[in-house]
Amino acid sequence: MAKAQQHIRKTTCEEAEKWFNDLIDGYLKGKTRTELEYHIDHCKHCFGRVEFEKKLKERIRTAKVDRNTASLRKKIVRLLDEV
Amino acid sequence: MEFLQQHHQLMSAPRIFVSSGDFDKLYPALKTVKSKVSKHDDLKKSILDCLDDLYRFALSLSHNSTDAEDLVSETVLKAIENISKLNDKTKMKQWLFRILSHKFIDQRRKSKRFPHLSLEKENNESANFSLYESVSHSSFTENETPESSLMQKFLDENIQQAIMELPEVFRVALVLCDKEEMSYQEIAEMLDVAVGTVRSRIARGRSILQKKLWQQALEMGIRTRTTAPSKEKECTCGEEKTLTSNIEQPILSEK
Repeated sequence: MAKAQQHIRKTTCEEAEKWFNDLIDGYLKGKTRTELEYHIDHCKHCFGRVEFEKKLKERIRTAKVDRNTASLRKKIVRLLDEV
Repeated sequence: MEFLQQHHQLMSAPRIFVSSGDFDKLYPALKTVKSKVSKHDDLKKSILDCLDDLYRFALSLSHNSTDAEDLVSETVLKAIENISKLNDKTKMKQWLFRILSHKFIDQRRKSKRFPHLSLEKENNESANFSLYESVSHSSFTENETPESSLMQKFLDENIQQAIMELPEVFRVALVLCDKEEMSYQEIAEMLDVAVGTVRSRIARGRSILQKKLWQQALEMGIRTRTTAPSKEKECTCGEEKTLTSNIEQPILSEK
């Protein structure tokens, strides 16, 4: 394990921050992902930030909006029948 | 549409006996009308299938049910007018989202009803803003970490309000990614922009959104510490980062 870690380039917080969005959205792969994950595993601050950003993304996803579409559905059906 | 009227006339016309010669002439026309009616029914069905998603998307962008309904209606009308341009019928939903996105951006830019949200101003004010950086150095509550406490305090309304305050292009990209869970590639195709542009709009949108949420947090009574802790983070990267750049200057008003 320690031997494998020797080959991972250490990244700074500033470098790591550039990849947070890609990591959260699931686009980070390969070497960059490995390096970033290594950094996050060893950096309490960046770990906290990534976890926070993930929670915020989930919070945005689940924030409810009024979804009553009954009246709109009637309106659209009428519109489709008219044209 | 004309073919619907033709179909209606044919179906309601008094039955008459036709000779086999006349029937041979009428049959292809009737077949064409029937085929058009069937295509119209398919179109109607696929639009109605997407309606809930379309309305949710419109509402996330406009946060007003009347505006959202208008946006959906105009989208449907435009879709019907341009249906011949849709080659792959399985992509109806993406196509409708695309029309709605463009309509929304166009409308906001032209309308005097909505204040113009300057991209440049927002970019300058909220460049790389991190809510986590700010809130983790605040005194929100003594029992929990400030960030988890803040997350619980935020209501759906707060989140939606912050989304509403984003400039249109960032709002569309962020809603498509974070609410509609579309990939960068799908968003890029939908908006006719490069994947890199989508990535950058989402990053900028999140930054601005976090700044808006931080402003709301300050209004809720969150207080920044007067002295920023210097070595709170435990990092092995060897970088000494003071974490003060993003922190608002103390506003000690209680609400």
